[in-house]
Amino acid sequence: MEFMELQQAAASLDWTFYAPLAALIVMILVGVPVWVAIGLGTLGMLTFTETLPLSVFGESLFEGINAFALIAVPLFILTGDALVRSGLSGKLLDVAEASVGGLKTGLGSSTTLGCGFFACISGSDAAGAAAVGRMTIPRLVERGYPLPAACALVASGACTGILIPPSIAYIVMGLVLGMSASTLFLAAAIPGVMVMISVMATNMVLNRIYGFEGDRERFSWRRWIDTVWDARWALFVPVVILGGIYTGIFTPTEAASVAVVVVVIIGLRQGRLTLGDIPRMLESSARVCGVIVPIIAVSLPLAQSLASLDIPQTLVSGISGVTDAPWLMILMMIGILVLAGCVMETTPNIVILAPLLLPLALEAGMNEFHFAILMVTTLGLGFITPPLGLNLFVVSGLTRCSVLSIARYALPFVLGMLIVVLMIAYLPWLSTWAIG
Amino acid sequence: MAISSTATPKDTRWRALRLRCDDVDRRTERWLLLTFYALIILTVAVEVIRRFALNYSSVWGEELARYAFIYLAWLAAAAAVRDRAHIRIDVLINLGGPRMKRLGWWISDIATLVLAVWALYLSIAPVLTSINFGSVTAGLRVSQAFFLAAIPVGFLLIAWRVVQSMLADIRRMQRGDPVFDGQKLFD
Amino acid sequence: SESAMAATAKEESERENAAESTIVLATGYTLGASRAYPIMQLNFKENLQNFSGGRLYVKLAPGGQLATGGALISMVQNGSIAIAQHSLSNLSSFAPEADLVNIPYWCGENQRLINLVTSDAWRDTVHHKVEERGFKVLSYICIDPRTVAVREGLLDGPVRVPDDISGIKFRVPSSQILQQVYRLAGANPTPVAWGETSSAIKQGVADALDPSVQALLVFGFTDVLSSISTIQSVPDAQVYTCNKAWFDSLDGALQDAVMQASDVTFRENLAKVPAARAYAHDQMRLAGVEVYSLSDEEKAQWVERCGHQLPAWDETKRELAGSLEAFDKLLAATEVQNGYFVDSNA
Ligand code: NA
Ligand code: NA
Repeated sequence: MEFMELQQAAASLDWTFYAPLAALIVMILVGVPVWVAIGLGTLGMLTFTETLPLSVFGESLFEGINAFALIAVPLFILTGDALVRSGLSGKLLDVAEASVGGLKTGLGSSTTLGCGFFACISGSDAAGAAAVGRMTIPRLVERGYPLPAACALVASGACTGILIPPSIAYIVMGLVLGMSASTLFLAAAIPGVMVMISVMATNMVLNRIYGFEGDRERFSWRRWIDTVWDARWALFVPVVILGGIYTGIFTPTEAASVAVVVVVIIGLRQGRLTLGDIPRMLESSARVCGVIVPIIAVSLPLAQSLASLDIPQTLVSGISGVTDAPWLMILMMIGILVLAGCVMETTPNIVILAPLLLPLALEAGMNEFHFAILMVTTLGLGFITPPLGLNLFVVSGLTRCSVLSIARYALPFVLGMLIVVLMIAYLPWLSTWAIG
Repeated sequence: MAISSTATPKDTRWRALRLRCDDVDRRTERWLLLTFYALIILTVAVEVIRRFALNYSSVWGEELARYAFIYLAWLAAAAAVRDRAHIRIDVLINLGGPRMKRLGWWISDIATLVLAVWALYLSIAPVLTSINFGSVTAGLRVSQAFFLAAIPVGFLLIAWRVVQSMLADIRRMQRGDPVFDGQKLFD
Repeated sequence: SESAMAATAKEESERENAAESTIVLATGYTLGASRAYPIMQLNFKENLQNFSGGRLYVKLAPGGQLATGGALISMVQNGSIAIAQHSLSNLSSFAPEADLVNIPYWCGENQRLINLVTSDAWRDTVHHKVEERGFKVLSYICIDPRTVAVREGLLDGPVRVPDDISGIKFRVPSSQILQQVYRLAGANPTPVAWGETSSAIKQGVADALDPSVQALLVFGFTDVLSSISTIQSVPDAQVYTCNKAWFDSLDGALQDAVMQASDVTFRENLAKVPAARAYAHDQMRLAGVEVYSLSDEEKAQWVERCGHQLPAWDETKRELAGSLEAFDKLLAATEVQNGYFVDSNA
């Protein structure tokens, strides 16, 4: 232990670090694909700082993604696609509408609840935004929402995709910090649902001000029972997934595969899906996977370089030099995460920032589960913050509505979610209650 | 897609050949992606069933799924390069109008090419080391080189896809068509 | 301590600047883990620097920062890093004899393992083959043998005899031999990736696992286990290896310094074994996990059920050692001390 402080040697950073970092940011801002910008930035950093040999980069492209947990990425992307093509997502939305459609802001609330139902099966985010958006945006507009407002609502509701378990984000978090993903799923349930409720509440406030939704439907028990019965197979899928995980039949990663198989079988049996649909489904999911995984792969050597340059220690000593009040340290951490979420995708943010911020969180007296939940929830905002917000991109792609105009309408939802983030940050039991 | 009136029969033949190659190219890519994807799902699902129902699992199932995933990821990354589907921030560059937009894609393509060639070079070394020293995987006990090769193969493809997309861009520019702005995720 | 930290930071950067070369030493464990899991990475760093008279500066990449296990070996082979720590079993992809240690009850006990790996018989075969594959063994790291650790809510008491684990799902890594060990013992071997193991044990995808008590503590299994039985069947040892070409490029004096630093680190590790064990066992007890030592009769049952003397192992011995005689030579080597002593009372 007496040698511990040898490692505390704070790094002396100079242009060899800042120049490649600046280049990385500039490349991202001028429209170089994010994975390419990170890759070149990392190569530059390795070349100039000489903190690690360049050859590490070549090895990491393989070893970095050579982890069983990561196969959850393509599998959960596919689950989302399978839910749509099997028609199960439509049934989930029907249940959502029959349940809360009678509220004053019925369509908006049921859209959000539909996103939440979708999230109970799918572990990724963008698929939910696409699926729910395709079905509900036209109807929201018909009901009186301006197009960008409808887009913003769906994009925000779909943030629950990774916040409500099952979730790729928590699987990756478990992988990076060596924690049990099934425990993280349990801990994430309440915060995830809170985010969903905050989206609903924000939409209600907006409606109170702008009155998007005029008329509403009447709640009927009969209709509710009919739709629930009609959607029984779709509602059964989350039971299989979460039940399977918590009775020890499969691991969270394996659950992703089980989810795909179950959804496809139900889709085939109900005749909505044909065997001929499967190749197309795999192909379009493969494309999404080919977009997400390279960003993760190049983020790992970046994380390694940062660790090797002692950035985590530098960050901790930097922030604890400014303040030693835990609440302020946590607030600064949230600030860093919100900023990171603006410019970067969630998974690479976890890969790069989790090892960087964990020491700071421990210093501020958080336990690692509390930290993991706070981190993922805060990064969840990044899906709807420009310039890089995946859900914004997806709904913009669906509707040809510009990213910036959607982002403007998404701002109130960001603020609503920030309130949840602050609650999670300062009320630790919200994240630890479920896991004892 | 009208062929310009000045095209000679030779031009047309070239064009036909190119389209034919393109077709084979896409079909091969598609089948490889489907195979690797299916392999991941089936391997994992079968392992779950084996463990649950038969109380007997394999030592190699997990490994096979991982390696199929790595191939899937890099092949799909290459496909996304051709489709220009990779995630990028184009809000700022698009403010500058169509010429800036084209410039943005040139910068993107060149950066991607530089990274692809650099990564190709760096990822060949581990394959050579594996062949040289004969390392095998822990479960399947086959040469690790087969799987390590996923990275150089992937980046070779990525480099090729960038060149393809740059050439396509030049043709579009000659025809006076606007720049190809990429396929969106979840169209 | 701010100024003390600045002073050490200054000292470190002075050392780095004064050194002829800076090398990277990568491990899978954090610096803090040494209390329970004595891989002695800071000692090794210091020893390499000091015995080389400051000519080498060692930059640590601890805690799996770069990679762990087999991936670290690849990095060493490629020459990306000079030195790495990984498990003894990881050597078996290169020198099949190394996999022999996973056959139960011939080198599971610490002293037997140390006798074996310091013997000429072992070094002639294993080290030679490893060097043909581009890397070189520097030092072994003894921890304690593998155990049988069972999850909470599975059994009433600790595992005492093989019948206690009959039919339970026993988590194994991708190793044919370890699979056979637990099948012989009557369990149902279930391969689970290491990253998934924590979830798997917690939810009951697997019921038991076999790392040493120290490893179980370091990886945070305290709150999912009910008991750990130290059956002392198979070693759970680690090893430091370096890139062969890098080593060969050093002059004679520096090569001697590296080997001396390795040997001293090995001895420091051996001395630390009982202290680390005491800490790990104590922490386990504090967490409510029972650590159970077998009686002689109970241990005899395990030996009888899965020990190396069984004909079931003959094929494995022939395949990995070349012949039964070659295995017997290694077996004999476990009985002879070579000037290294370690506490074996796991
Ligand atoms: Na989810
Ligand atoms: Na964002």
